Amino acid sequence: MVFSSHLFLFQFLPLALALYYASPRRLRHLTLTGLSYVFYGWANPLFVVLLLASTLVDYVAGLAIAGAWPRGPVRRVDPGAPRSRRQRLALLSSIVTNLSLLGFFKYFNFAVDSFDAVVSALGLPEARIDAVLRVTLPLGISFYTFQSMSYTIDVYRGRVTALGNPIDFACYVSMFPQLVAGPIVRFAEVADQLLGRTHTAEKFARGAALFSLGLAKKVLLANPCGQVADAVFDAGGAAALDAWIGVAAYAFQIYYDFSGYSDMALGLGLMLGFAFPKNFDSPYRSRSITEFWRRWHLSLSFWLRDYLYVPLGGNRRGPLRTYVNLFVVMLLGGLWHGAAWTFVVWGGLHGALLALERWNGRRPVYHRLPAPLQTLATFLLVLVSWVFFRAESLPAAGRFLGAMVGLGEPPPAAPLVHGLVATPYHLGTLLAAAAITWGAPQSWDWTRTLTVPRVAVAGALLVVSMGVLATQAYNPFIYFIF
Amino acid sequence: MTEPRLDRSASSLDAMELSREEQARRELAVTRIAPWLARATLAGFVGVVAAVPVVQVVALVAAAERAGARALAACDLTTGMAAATAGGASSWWQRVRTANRGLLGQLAACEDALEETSPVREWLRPWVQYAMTAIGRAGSEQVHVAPGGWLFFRPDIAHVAGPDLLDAAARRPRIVRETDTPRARDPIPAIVAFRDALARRGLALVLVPTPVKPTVHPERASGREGPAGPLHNRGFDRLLAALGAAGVDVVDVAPALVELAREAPVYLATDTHWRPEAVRAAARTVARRIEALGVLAPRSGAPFVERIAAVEQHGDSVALLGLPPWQTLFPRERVVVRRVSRADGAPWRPDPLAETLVLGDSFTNIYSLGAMGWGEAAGFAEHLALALGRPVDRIAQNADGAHATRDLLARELAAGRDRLAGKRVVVWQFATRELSQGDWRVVPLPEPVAREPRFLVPPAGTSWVATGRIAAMARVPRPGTVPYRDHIAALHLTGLRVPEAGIDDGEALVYVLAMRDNAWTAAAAYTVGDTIRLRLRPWSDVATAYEGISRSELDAPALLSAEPCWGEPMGEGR
Repeated sequence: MVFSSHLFLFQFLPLALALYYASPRRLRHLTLTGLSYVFYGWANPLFVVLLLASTLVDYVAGLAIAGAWPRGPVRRVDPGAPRSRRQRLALLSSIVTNLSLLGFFKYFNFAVDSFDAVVSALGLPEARIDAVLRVTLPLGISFYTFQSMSYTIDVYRGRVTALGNPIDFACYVSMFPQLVAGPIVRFAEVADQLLGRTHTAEKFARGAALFSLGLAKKVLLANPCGQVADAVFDAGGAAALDAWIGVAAYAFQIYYDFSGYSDMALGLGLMLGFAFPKNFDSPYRSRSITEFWRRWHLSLSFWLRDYLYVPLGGNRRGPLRTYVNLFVVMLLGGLWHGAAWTFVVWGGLHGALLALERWNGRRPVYHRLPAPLQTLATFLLVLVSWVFFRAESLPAAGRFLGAMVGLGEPPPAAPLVHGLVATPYHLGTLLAAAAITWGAPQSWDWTRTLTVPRVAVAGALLVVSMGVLATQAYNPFIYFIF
Repeated sequence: MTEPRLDRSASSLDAMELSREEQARRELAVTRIAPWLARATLAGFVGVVAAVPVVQVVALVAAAERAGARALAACDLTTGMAAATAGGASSWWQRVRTANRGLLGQLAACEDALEETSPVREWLRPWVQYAMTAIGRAGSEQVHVAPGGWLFFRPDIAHVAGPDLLDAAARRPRIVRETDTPRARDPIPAIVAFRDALARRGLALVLVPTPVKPTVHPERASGREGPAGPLHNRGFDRLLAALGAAGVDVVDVAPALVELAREAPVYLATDTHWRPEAVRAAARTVARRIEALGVLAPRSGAPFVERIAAVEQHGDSVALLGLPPWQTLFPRERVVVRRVSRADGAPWRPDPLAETLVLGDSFTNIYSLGAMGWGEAAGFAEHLALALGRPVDRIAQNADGAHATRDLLARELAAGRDRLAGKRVVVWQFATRELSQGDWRVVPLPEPVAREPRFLVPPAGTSWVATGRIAAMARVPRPGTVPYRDHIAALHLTGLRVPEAGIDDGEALVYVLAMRDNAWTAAAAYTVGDTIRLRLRPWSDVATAYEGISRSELDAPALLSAEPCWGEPMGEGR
């Protein structure tokens, strides 16, 4: 189910709020879990089984680590104490289960296709696997496996106490506001709130305002920008100016799509009494790639730092190892986004730029430029990387980059692509997106103080978005496929 | 209040202080809003999101027709699963997957029904679309609004400007869904197989890939000067070369149309299709090629005549935009058509005894199929007959030109009706967009064998009032998502009772009109398991009027050879 759909907005959401608030307090997590499973199962009922399996394994693993399985009191593990074999096995089973699910469902097709491509290139077509089995990617598996794993790891590290109530844990893993596209809420971030939280009109009002802003970002900005990006990227080629417009449109699409989703998730969380950490911090205002990653998809950045970069040694093993760690983490981060070589290159590019900035004294090579030009340079680097992220294949990315720098003649159909892009509606939306990106306050900050005019603006955006939504068909969020 | 700040001078991965939960908690603590405003915001938000379904429920309850309420029957999720599992599967895993697919289909149908029956959406959509189109030329997901009031079907532009149509990898969809039906994307094997199947019966195939509007009028789509010749997909020339090498006879009418377009537009400004002048020019070009084959019997006299008539109509792209009926942005277009009739004054009809059979899509149907709104008797088949001076048979259906007419032909043969008997030439017309977007599955042509009819059909010229249970129903597209106003869906009825014919337990394959003028009919709300009452007529009695309308069929081999009926809903079954 998609937040920006008629079904969610006008059927699921009112029903969910009514059921949640009508439930006795002790049954609210059960209600929320049931609603979340319906929300998730709507995309594919079979995927619910996977979610349930992952939840069950991690719940039991958490109890086992806490010494409460099969029976016994739940105790927080002493961070300094040695771990028993049972605890290590429990953690390992959680990690292996989650990574196996992720590995199989996300990377099986990719692995088979890559193997076939290699053996074909080597002139050994008879060695091709040509698997009949094609695996359908379960929605949100990258998010909930990471979220679920963070629970067992944090219980193992003694950072949090394991949950004794399976419903509370299932509620944490499946909570529909952030289930399919994040933010990746770590258990430590909501543990207290799962045990007790307040429901106030103030929270709800801010949630409603954030949700409205997020919906507007998605419907009014991301979707039209996406039409431009699709027109240019899906074409066989484009003129240089259109290529730049196309990649800029994609940059705005992915930002407003994902940050809009995150705002809606945060808003829905607040309506249900939860406070989730924010996921974006005006990333396109960054002056370096290092800063970009401190502002873009924060929940993933933090997850990768705490569960991958630090265990790899972080910056504790000398400069060279630090560069390698940065590169490897971003490479795997790229692969987390999608099972394709384009994502690997995207991650590698960011890893290389992070390592370069680290080598350069944690500054970009263009740090002597005036601040606005540093922001511009960083944005250009991010744009180039988005080409790999969006392109269908590496050769397609190469052709697109070539078009951006004017290599080769534009194809005969280039004017058609320009015709699709150069409408007042689309160009106006791109300008509005740029103005908001670099000139407007963040929705997080803007909703900190809600006055009558601000509530009126949020309300108007909600109504306008609903109106525009009526003219749009299926419009899934980009991160749903990751 | 001091907010926790992240140290921006540090590296992204190793120096951030993780205090996100604390940050979130503190952040919420500083939300400033007057208590009354908070309550008003809460009430306003809940009011807005709850008002839409409340209005929907009230409207459905108040509706005199129960079409809306029946539409929501699509949300009875057990029916899809039951239908999906009815066929029987070999293993438990297969049964689970089949049931899951059925459930998924039912969920999608339910979501469509909820959206389509929302009065608020129905009221809002035309106004918002009008404002966006008038102010910003926004268009829709299906329609590009070009300068000068020209409308283009976006899939047409995607075909022309998109990846090489022979590059299967580039055209593979980014997301594969559980319910997706696998498509054969390479047109060459299907075309060659069809040519070979016809050749085995001694028939020649003439392929007529019909250029889509951006191929002939790219300058109208972009507002910039276009190339001197036709603007094809980058793989089109290689496709022609490959088909030529395989011995397939292809008539590319695009150069003739571009030549004609130097004088005046040859495509409708607000419609996906060509103008009558283009139909005529293409028919003449194809007729010359057929004559050159030298396989037709000599003509005798001039069996057809033409007379001029004017037709005024809004194009299909205007309907796809979903603008309000009072809109003035896109006026009706007026065309002069040349209606073909027999020399004795009788209207032109497809002739099953003709030596030439035309398989065509909506480019064949326009100016011929009355339901399209552009008049009758002036379509491609009619003008081909006129140019050949000989009768022509026709099987045409809007949409899915890559396979729909081959499927229909195969179905006719499987039912024992030899539509290829006496034929010398088959002209296969389809829109070029199909080359990159169509399903190019190979369709075997069975030998026509007379069969004992298993499915009930009223005798010709009569009708029955029948009651039956829906065992299967083909999917109906959502209005506004396909470039056609009307759509027919197939039903498999079982337990059929026809008191007047003494039938107590029969079965029938029934076609019903599920979409008319871009709105679902009551029949669209049928779901598997419903017991319905219909007036049934033989399909052959109504085929002339309805055969060209796009149609979704049931994917069941047993139904392939069934003689269909035409069904008109008569209210509840019980």
